[in-house]
Amino acid sequence: MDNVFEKALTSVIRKEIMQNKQVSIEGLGTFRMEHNKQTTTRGNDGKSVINPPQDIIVFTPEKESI
Amino acid sequence: MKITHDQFIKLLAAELGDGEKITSIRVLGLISEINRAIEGGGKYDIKGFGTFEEKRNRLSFTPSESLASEVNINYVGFMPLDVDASRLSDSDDNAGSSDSTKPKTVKSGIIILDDEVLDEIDALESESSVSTRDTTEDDPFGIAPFDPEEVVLEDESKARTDLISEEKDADEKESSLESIESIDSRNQALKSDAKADQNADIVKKDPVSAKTDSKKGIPQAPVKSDENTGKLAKKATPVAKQNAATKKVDKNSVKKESEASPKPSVLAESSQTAANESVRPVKKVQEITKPKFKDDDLDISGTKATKSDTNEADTDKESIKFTPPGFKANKSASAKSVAKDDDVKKQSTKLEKQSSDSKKETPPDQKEILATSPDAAKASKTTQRKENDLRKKPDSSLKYVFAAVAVVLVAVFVWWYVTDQGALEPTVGELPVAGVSRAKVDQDQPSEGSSDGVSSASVGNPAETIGMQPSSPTAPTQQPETSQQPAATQQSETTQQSAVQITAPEPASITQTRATITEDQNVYAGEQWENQRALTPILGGMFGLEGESRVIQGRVFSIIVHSVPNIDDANRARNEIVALGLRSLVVEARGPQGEQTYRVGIGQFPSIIEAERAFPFLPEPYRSRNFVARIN
Repeated sequence: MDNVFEKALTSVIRKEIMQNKQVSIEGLGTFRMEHNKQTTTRGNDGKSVINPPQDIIVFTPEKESI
Repeated sequence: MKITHDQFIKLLAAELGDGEKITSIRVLGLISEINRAIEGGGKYDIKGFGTFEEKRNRLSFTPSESLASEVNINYVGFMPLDVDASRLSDSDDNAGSSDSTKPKTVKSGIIILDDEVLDEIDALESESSVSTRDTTEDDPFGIAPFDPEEVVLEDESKARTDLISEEKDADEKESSLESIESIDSRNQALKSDAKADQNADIVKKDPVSAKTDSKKGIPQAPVKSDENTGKLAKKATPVAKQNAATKKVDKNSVKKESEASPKPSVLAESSQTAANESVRPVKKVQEITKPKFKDDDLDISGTKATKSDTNEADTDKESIKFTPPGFKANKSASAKSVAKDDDVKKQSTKLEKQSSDSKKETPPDQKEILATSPDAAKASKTTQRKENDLRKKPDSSLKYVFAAVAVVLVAVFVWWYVTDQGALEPTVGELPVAGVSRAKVDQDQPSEGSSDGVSSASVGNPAETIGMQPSSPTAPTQQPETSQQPAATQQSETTQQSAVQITAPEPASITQTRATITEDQNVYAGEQWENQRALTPILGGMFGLEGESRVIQGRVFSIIVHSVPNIDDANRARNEIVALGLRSLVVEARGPQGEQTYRVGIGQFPSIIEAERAFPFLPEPYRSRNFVARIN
């Protein structure tokens, strides 16, 4: 696949995801943005770690993709 | 909101500028490629987007760092935070306890602050306040307002103590004078009566002085009616003794004059008497020898003075009658001075006692002679000086301050001259050319030119070589001329000369020339630059623009022309510069963000000034794009 096509694909998906939209591609899956809230986890040593919130890209493959 | 496959194809087609069908086919082709890659057990990476791979028998996608950070733009930089477990447990335990044990929260505007945060803020504030207090107390930078009392040099301290003691004495005298004034005020009424009884002749002869007298209202001391005062004037004393006595008395009298502000009237009197030049010295001496005249007058009119205190003014007038004709013009002045000195007389009774012996023996004629004698004139000058000194006393502290400032300024100037001026290059006219011109070197070594490989054809006119002599600004300069290189500017000559100074000393046998270049130094390119470079007086040695780089201890500066992150690039750039015949070296350095960089420098110089002097001899683009940095 040529670079121009890859760049265009990346650009379109990124734009839509940044607008908090799901992008569904048949035969591949769905891309979406998900917000993870701040969480506090406690390890075995008794220390707790506060994880900051973050926005991540989540990809959900189609069942038939593989 | 969801973008369907068809919508995605439309968007992508619009992005690519292709048709939807073609775009759809290309998307299907991409999907098949991904599937093939994953089925083969590999990965499919799309640059700037992410990686598709198989995880747990499922297709997974890992976004690239750039895409992930773009999506997480709101929270980029937030890092996981370790929290003390005990604190968390405490807070959990305290969750159900009373409010007193629970950490308080305070609303500060919008932000809610815990007690800990407040404590930290308080600590910071206390630190800042302490630091502020320290700085204000110590005042390390001298920000405190200028207090001239504190700025006293060690040498001044003595003078100041003396000054203070003198001022104290002056204050004491003033206080004594004030006491005298109080006495005078009592006699003021008597004086007014006496004025009324003044002789009509005096008023007629000197109406102006009489007016000024009435205006001034100078208090007249009562004339002592005891016999001592009568005897005082009868005794004769040496002139020096009298002068000394009068000087001491005049200090007080001047002080009193300054307080009572009789100056204008005195000036008026002086202006009035200015017409008569012969009278002027007499008047001065009159002022100096006020007690004497008074005593004389008293002596002459002793019979009247002894009558009563109320007739003292009359006695003054009577005494004026006895003065010679030249002296009559200053009768009023003498009367005033006598009145003033009467006040002083009370204060300085000791002086009167000392002078009494002389006055008793001094006849009136002799006193007139004294008044007109040169000694008396000298005495008057000295007393005037003392008067001026006394008047200037209040400003003496300021004078010391100004003197201190002047000394500091001189010291700063000397320091500047020794350091900066000494380091600076003298002007062209001041400099004898200490180096050897390239032309002469080439002339003496015609075979291969100089050791640094400069062609001898570039410069050289043997006829123009001159012996070593200091060049003056007006002296005509010898201009080495070549067909390719006419000359350079005077400024470049200066640069060359200064550059020559840092080179190793040349043999004395070589005659020295003064190379003047009139060509515009801003136009050096290609061959011109090569020729110009031949004129470069930086012939090598420890420092210089040419030759091989050396390991030099101490402060070394170089003209940095490249700063690259890769050592190979740096070495490549260095080789290019070396190929031009210049001294070049690579120096490791750290960038502003701490990144490793390699600087390529040209030349080694002992100072920034010397490095800057070599700018005109650099080829473009190094000449216009460089900076001087310390490399050692």
